[in-house]
Amino acid sequence: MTTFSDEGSLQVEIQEEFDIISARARARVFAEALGFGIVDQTRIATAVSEIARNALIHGEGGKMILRASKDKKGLEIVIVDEGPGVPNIDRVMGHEYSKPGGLGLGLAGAKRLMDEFYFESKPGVGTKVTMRKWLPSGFRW
Amino acid sequence: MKDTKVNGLIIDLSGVDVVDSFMGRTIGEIANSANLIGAEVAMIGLRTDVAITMVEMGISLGNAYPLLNLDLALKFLRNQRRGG
Repeated sequence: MTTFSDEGSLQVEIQEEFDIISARARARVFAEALGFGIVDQTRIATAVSEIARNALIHGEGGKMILRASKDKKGLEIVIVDEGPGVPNIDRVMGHEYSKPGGLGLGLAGAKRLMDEFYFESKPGVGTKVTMRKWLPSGFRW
Repeated sequence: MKDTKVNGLIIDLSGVDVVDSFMGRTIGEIANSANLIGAEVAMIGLRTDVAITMVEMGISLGNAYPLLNLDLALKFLRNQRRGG
């Protein structure tokens, strides 16, 4: 089991619209430093944009933590908020929530862009999304 | 658009490094609105990595017609012009 280290980790507050842009820019630079190619950088930045926007709009703001695995072969992104939480995760991960500005496409899409995706939400407590991406071993873009 | 009688719109995304579902929806809505007023909409400059990510996410840009560059977009709009 690979462990993710807090050493060299990075934290970004998500309190306003502009913070989404800085969150995805920091994630892109972090991914690039680990050796991710341009397509993976964009996948990661897009997933961050998606989840950070959810935290801002539906979770009343939150924060993002970027971590590298100890062997430097993986990137972990944790985005947490202390908003109202989501009562039914299955519905959110499907396409049922596809109202304008809503979750539908976003969460399911972000999940497809990443290698691991965990969504935890407790009504009244908040939401935590953990996403991981691994460096490809062979050819990469 | 109504005031200037413009009948074509080109959206240049070459400076955009991330299109998430929100951004995609916004661009799509601009394109579809312009389309309803009577303008053809071309979209150029999409980066390869952004295009790959959009396809994986399932994001489309409404009625914006994607083209390789400005030259082709202008040609496309000239040929598509509605009502002469």
